[in-house]
Amino acid sequence: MSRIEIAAELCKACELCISVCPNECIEQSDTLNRYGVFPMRMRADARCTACTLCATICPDTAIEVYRTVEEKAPAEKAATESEQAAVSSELPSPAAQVSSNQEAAS
Amino acid sequence: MSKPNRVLMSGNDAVVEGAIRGGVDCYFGYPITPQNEVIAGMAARLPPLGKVFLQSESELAAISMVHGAAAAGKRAMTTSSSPGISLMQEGISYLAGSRLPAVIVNVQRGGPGLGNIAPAQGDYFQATRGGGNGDYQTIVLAPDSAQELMDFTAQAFDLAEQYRTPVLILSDGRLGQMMEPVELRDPPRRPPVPKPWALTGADGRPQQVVCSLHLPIPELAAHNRVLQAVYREIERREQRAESYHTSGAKLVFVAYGACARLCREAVDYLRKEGLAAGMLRPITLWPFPKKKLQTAVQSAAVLVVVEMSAGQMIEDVRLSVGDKLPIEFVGRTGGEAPTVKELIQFGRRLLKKYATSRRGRRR
Amino acid sequence: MIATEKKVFARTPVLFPQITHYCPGCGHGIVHRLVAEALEHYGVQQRAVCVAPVGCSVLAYKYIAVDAVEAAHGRAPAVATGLKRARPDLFVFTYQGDGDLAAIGTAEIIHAANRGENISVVFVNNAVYGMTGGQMAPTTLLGQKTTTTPQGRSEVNEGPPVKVCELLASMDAPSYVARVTVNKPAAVRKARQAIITAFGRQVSGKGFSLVEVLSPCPTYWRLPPPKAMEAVENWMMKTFPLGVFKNKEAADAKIAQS
Repeated sequence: MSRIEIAAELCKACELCISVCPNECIEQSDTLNRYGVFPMRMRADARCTACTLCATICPDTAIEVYRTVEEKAPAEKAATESEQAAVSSELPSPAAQVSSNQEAAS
Repeated sequence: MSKPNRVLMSGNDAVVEGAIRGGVDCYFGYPITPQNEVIAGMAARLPPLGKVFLQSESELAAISMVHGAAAAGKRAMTTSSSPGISLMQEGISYLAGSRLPAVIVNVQRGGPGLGNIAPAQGDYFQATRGGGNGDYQTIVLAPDSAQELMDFTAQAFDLAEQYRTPVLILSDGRLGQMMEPVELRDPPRRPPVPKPWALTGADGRPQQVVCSLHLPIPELAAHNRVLQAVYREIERREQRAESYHTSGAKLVFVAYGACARLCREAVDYLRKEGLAAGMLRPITLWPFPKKKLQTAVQSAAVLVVVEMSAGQMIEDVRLSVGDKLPIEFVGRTGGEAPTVKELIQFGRRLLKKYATSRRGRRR
Repeated sequence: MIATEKKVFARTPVLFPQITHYCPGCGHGIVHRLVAEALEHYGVQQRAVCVAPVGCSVLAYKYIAVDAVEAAHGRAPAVATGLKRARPDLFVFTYQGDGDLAAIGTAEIIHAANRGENISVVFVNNAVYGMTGGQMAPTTLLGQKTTTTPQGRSEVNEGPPVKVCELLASMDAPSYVARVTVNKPAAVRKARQAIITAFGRQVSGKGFSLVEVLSPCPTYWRLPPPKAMEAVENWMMKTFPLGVFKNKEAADAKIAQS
């Protein structure tokens, strides 16, 4: 899952990040930082999409964003590709499909 | 033996010549009478030499341009006259607080306020007590001729860089306008001082910051102690004065700049009459040449301070000699100056009055 | 399925890892970041000098990792002129607030712009004097209450707010003059682009550029940060429209085409 990291010692709890997050991913922590601020943090159950809106608006550049991209593993990828090739070889070519449809219609 | 290279030029022209010989990199200035020949000279001569010249929009801007160029490690200077120098006071305080070398020439004119364009010496307090805020000093040099204007301007850059402090040259409208033969020569050089503090870009080194702001109290206190230590060192090493027939003199004139020229002539006339007159001419107004003055008045019965002001340097004279001997004052303002004749007559009267009394007795 | 994680937003190294003294929600922090990123974009941070102002951002050099010189109040464009004329190879930018640039420094900004000095000016406009406790600025809006306009700024007494971009755009010399804001992420990205464009003018020797950034002051507008950001749009921008007020390169290109 994509995520953000908020540097607790840089955050001033201005809440701008909360105001721009489209997925309500951010909440206020209950641990004081050394400046007497309860900094922001990503919710444990956050569904972050790494849109970076929070990091863009943060006046303290306290947020870094990590995007997780799910990719198929190489073996999986090859298996899927050969599956797809097998399936498509069974189907008539699109051109052939059209002419057989036309034949059926007439 | 080669003939010395002597050229007839004005004091203002000599400043330009001296700046070039002293290695000026950048000149920023604003026109003001009676020093417009300086800015015109800089405009004509600096660009062909590949140096920077810019007429700024005001004296406020000019001193800040000097600040920027000096922060980059370049030899920067400006010139102005009394009201313009008033505008630069904040900038001079910033230069001093930021420990930046710079050269500023004040071609004094009548004041206060807009005053007039005649010569005066009314900016002594401003120059030596620091017209800007805070505890700082600038080295103040007082030339008395076009030759010295050239020599002192040339030497000022090395001096400023050695101590990382601004140097103020106190000229006046009379010195600036009069024409004299000047021997074109290079100044004696001080050893070059590296500038690790200069802003050259943080390329492979930590950030440098040139500033005078030190918000935490202990930091600013420590910074001021550093400044004061530098000023004590300058006081120890840089006091300069000319002693003119002061040995055995019963009457000693104390004067600088244009007034010193008048007093020198008066001394010559009095001595021709067999009278024991002499002159102590401070060359550095800050640091004030206390020791040389104290030595010069050892046999004196009376001092005569001569200024084109209502009495400014006289305070430093009093601080130096205390009540050891009477101090008389000849002051003129508004562009007036005493004549040599007046000084001779006054000198004769004083010598009659004081030289016959016992030394050391207060009058 | 394998998951790969990629960092898509990182803090630029041209910002010191240092908490700032700015109030929570202050726009300065965002602008500092955009300036740092623009310097990184051109790779000029190692020959850059920041001229810091008097105002809330007097300590800008504690946050932006480049050489810096402090200027007297309002004189930053003059200090920058001295620096750039002395060392044209340095990348010189000033960072100024509305008091520094549009009140005490009016002469200096106009003349540096008029000379077409090859410097870049970042002008943060939050319509109030923050550092000194909330007094009227030249850009304070009509009706805005400050400690020196307790009844609200009046046109009759104080005159209307000063529009710096419009003023400078009337001159021939400036290369790029733009007004942007940082009140929401989309605007921040456009502001970043404008600052990059402006810095690019200096890098290619094309002369003077200024970017005015409308910024919130939650403390002296007496609004929580998200509300202050809204106020930039529904209150400040009514007086200060966004836009590019001068773009010499675009104008030159147009002339070349016709």
